[in-house]
Amino acid sequence: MAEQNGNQNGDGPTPPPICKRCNTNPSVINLRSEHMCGTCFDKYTRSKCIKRTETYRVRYNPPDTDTTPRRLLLPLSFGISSITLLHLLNAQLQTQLERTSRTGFVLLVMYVDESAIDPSVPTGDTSIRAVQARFPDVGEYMVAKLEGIYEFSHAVKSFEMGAAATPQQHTDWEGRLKELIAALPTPSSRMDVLQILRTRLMVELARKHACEAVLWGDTTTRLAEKTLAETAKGRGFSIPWQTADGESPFGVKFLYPLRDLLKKEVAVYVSLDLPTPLRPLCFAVPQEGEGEEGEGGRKKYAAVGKGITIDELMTQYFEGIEGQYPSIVANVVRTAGKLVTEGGVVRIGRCKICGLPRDGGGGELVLDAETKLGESSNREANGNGHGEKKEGSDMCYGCARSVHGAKTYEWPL
Amino acid sequence: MSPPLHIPASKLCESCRATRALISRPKTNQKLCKTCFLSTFEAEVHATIVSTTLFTRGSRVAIGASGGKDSTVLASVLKTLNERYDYGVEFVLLSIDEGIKGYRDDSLETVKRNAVQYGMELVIVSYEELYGWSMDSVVESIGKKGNCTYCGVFRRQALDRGAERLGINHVVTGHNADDIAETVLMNLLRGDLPRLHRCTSIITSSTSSPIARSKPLKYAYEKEIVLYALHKKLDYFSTECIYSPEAFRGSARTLIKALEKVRPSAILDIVRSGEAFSRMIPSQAQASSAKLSQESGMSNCTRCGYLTSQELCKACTLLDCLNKNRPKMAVEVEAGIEDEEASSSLRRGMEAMKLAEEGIVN
Repeated sequence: MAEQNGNQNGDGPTPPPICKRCNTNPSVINLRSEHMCGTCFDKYTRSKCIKRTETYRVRYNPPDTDTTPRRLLLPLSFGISSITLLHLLNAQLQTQLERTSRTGFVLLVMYVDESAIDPSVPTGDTSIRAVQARFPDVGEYMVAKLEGIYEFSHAVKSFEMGAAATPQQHTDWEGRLKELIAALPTPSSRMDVLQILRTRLMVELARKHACEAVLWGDTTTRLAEKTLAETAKGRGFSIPWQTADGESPFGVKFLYPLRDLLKKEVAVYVSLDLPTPLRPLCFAVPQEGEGEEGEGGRKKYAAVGKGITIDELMTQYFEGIEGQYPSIVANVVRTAGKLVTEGGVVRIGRCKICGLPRDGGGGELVLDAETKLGESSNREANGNGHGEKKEGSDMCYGCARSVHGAKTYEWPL
Repeated sequence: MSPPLHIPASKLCESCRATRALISRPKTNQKLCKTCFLSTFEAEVHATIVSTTLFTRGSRVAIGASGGKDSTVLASVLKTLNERYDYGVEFVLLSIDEGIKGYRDDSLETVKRNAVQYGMELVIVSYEELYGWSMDSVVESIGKKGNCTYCGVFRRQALDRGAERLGINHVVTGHNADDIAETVLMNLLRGDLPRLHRCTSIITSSTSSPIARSKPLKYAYEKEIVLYALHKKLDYFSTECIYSPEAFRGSARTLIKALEKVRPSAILDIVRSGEAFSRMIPSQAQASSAKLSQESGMSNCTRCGYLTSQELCKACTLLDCLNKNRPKMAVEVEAGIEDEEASSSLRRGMEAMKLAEEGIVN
């Protein structure tokens, strides 16, 4: 808290300035050059989230339309962002109940248990009970195993191709997931593919549990990181699908209610007394020291050099930018928001990995969509050898890059 | 050819399988012998040129030559390809003398040797003759800070005037894939949609200049350019400009280099994303400022005749400042100024905010 404050303007030992909004309480945060106290910062944060979830106000419609609360899926990673989002939506629900004795939405809070691939990660049962005890009235709480993605092979095929496929028989999903991850060539690929699996699992769970939207906890900073990371992975074409509010190509809406808050602001927010701080609920974040906010239950990047991943590199990059040039972070997200996907959702076909409409990328390193690299460089450049050309043709360019050089693997969807 | 002397299969060139591999291609990690590396590099530039029908037979094209590695490799490769594939293009070297002692005078000597080595005509246009100011005297007058703004504006116009003098309407420059990837990221960071729209185009022609610019090395990695120069034993000059030390070590550049280390294809992947962005920008946002100036009509600078949307062109405005011996006027770079040049001010502005280098780079 104090460190966020002091660092900004080099306030030094002088007493904290007074909140610019209420002019009474001491400031806890210098918010884009406006000092704010805890109460005013709380109001500010709530308003940012409310603005982005206006669709889910209580509905007063004519009797012939459906006024039952809409079901929304909230993926919970126990990071600072998703916990904050849960808290803000809980507050919103409380307000709706007080005012109207009804609610506009109900949540399905979902934690993904990734202990199959990282045994050091807790299974989440105790953590989710603690969170449920704090926010008991928002809806249901569930823990899903990441390997549960294998359950959805059938559903995905019928959604994407309208084709009937044989349902997956239940055979050692955990082992198959481990094999898949182990087959991937680099830490960057593994992190990328894991992120894709999480997203696709959430989509499938949302469909299965009749949720009309997924509420992601991404902050402005996280969206900027994602924009640059996906650019660096050659997935520029799909950025709107990964960062925009609204209908996603998966047939489920995606919303990012924290898109107007910086990560560093959320980091201050979880330490506020509201009346109890949220921080102890952020189980994925080391409780001591500041700035350890690893997203999605991942470990904070300790790796350097080749061990670091593209996503971690971007997280690190924006940590630096956010401190000194917060407007640049917002700039990136605003720019991404102005991009429009080519030809809309229906085109060429889907990437079998990420499930998004393909860009006709193929599995080779290409100069551009048409021009291949010099003859000789194609032949043996990749470990997978000759089958690659065909194999890559049902993927988007970014996914083809990510699984480039992978050992034989079986894709769950 | 000497018989292979028991070279283990793992040490063989992955392309010809006959000689020992000497080079690990930075772009793909492919292990190649020297000959295969050189021919692969050339084949890729050729593929870029052919797929974009960059040149027309019988035309004269100027190579913007600084004597540095990029433009020297560009000149060498274009000469090779022109002969090998019979493009039927006449290439001419066009150099700008900014008037920086201890830097440009030395690099111009390199260009003069290159002109002889490649049998190309060379034209040198100097700031001194065009504007009456050398960069040395500009820096003497305004100091080092902000001098790149002057240099960038002057260079663009100087290249156009040099091309005009040669009766040429197409200048190729040595911008490489790293430069383009950096520009894509910079334009994302500052939210510049019009530039994001055009920065990956291989050829750009704008309303503010009668001369088209193109980048045949847009898919060539900086590291491979260095390797090509090295193995071809090209004669190039490798000192950085003394007035913008570390100009290329801004944060986006550092990020690109770190990404390349993590995944070598990342540079190419960013260029590819940039090409996708170019098609994803709504038409009304593609050319905001350039369109505005088109609507208000481009006219000739009342003083020097250069195309401009204002009464005076950017160079004459800056010259006014210099001549009045005023300190640097706050100038935002006009639409149409080449991306790499224009991005330099933001790049410098963000230099302070470097990545924790020890954390990311090694």
